[in-house]
Amino acid sequence: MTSIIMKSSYDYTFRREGKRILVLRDGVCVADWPYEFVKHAVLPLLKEQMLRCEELDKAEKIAFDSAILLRAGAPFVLSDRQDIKDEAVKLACHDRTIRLMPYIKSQEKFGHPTFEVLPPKPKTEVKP
Amino acid sequence: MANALYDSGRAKFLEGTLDWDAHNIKMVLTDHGGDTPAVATDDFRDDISAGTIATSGNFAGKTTTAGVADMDDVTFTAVSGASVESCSSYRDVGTAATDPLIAYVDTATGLPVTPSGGDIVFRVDSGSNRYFKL
Repeated sequence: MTSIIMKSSYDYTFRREGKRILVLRDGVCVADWPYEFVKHAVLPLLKEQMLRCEELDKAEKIAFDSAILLRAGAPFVLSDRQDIKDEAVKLACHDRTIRLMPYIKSQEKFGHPTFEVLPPKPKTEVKP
Repeated sequence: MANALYDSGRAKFLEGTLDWDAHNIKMVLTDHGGDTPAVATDDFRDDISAGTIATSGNFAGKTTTAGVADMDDVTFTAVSGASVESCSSYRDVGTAATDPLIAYVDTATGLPVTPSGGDIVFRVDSGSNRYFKL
């Protein structure tokens, strides 16, 4: 039996019974899944929810990185959450650090000048 | 690289410490064998002075209409020395360590230019962007 005791108000235990996986909460079985179901449905769902949790946990950093992308001209951001997108746009427009990033090319335009080399002026002879 | 404003120069335009019309603006010719300017990090003339071949007088005929920096052609008198790969304009405050750099040009007809002892003339583009446009 493999058991994981999680820090929460409940103690969760995962137990394998043959080809089935049981989830026990405080010793009471709350889920009884076939191995195949866990593999194809539960794990992907868990993974997705984990990513969502991580996205929330790191929302500030994702918004900052997205703002850099926006300032650099990329037409996308790193999250599909509307609040993170809004924050990224706000940072891209107003954050002083991002606006002054040296590697973001400025948009000024230059003319095309011409260099011309003139021949040396002849030396004037001084008469004795 | 390409023609560009120095990052610190752009900041100074925004901060109001660079006035194209009112300040004395000059240009230096730079030999990249002595120093290769870096627009992102160089901020004052002393950062590029190791490669300086010639320095112009103050720009004349400066205008700022519609954010376009324009001036009369710039003449460097009797230039000799190593070949020139770029030129940079700066505000002449008095000393190299306090002269802020403004614009860097390494893409121009005639560059690199090899001094022959005669004058070198920087002819400003007659198109809409002139020297540069903010």
